[in-house]
Amino acid sequence: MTGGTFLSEISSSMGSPATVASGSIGRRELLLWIVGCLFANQALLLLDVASFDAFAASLLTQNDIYWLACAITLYRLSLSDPILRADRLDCGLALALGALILFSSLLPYRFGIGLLATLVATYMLMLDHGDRNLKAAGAVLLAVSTQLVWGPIFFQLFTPELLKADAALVGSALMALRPDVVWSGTTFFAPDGHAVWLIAGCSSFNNVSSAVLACVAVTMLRRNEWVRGDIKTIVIASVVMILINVLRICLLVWSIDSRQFWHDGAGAQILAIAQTLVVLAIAWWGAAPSRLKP
Amino acid sequence: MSKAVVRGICALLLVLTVAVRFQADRTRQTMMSEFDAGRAIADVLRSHGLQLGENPVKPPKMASIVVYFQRPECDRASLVFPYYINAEAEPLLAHVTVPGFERHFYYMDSSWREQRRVSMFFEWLKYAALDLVGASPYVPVKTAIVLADPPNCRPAEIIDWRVLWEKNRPRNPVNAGSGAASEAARS
Repeated sequence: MTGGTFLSEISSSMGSPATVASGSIGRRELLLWIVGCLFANQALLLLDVASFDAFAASLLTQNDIYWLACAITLYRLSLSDPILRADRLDCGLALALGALILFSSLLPYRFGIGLLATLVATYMLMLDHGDRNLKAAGAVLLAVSTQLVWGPIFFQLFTPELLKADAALVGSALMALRPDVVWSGTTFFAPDGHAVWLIAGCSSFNNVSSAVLACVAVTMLRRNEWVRGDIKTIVIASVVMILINVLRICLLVWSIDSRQFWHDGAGAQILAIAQTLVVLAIAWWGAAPSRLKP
Repeated sequence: MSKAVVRGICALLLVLTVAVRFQADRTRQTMMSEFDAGRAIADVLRSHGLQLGENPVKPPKMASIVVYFQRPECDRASLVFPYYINAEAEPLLAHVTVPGFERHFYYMDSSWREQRRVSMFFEWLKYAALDLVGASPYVPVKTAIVLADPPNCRPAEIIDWRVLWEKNRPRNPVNAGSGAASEAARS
């Protein structure tokens, strides 16, 4: 599907005659306000708005896949049923969420918004009234909330185990490629004297989490229903992300020069861009409408 | 309720939540930047009359965060260092100590003989929640400390490490926010 088709799809949907009873707000608009409010609050936590320079710097460190998923949530939501009025349950939810978002504003941690996003996503998935676009928006929002809150909590609880798994993969690869590197637990000692100690930021869990988000978001961008093969796409994307991360850590261990280039130099950006492009390419391939069975 | 009124309420809510969050986030950033764990550890040790040792390792190496100090009753130096509660302290601990060192992990008003990430996370959650209503006596940063005493060292005085996280602990704003420890606290 091309960008032009997307735009025409949005404009035709948004520009359709107001079939919502005059004087009452539509369900779609109400949900757009809620989700927009969640994303605006989340943006404040992800972007540094202390100064223009800090803002520009924080823009460069953003997870593009996360923002793409947010945009796709809004896109699918904007395509949802324009006729349906907001009923009492919708209004009650909006009111409760408004109060909770305001309360969570006092809580300067990401998980507050993440929890509320889970709540809204569950609502959209359970009370979709057969609206596939709403369901697709709910699925992407659920994936976004998983990235914000559930993934980090899981990672917090199992960091050492996940790091040991990463170290085992890296250690196995290095045993074949560089037998002179000494591997001990989650630390690697190169013969030139430098050592690499795996910490939370090195874990491939972060990449897998982004891979799952990318697959869900891109799939729901290209179509609004799931097929069994989507699970295969998620698995492939996750495995590829783990392998790229293993390669990255191997490069860090290789030598001091290699570490400086791939960790502190241009190599870090090259790897980040490559990872993003690869995962998006896999997600795009996996979400091809041709995979839908008639 | 008319559409215009609902839209007005929604827009107001959007602006209000963003404004409140902006202010809350700035307050938190200030609180975090004032929390310099390395300096706080040194202050606590000095307040107990303990002599600080020189750390030969300099930043950016990880071991530069270790604070060495000498207990008068012990023949070798003890050490303490801050770390992010979710990080693995063991590799650094193994690097800067030798087998036989007695370890204690401290976080706010709890202590453990080994690293307990989950317990520390719930401890943080408790004080982060209390902090919302201004009832937390501690700054809810995710920085814990680990203390290692040499073998056969029986400290005559027990150091109260809780003061490290206390909100009313006197701070030196000139030096606040520097060092790797405060970087960890910001995570």
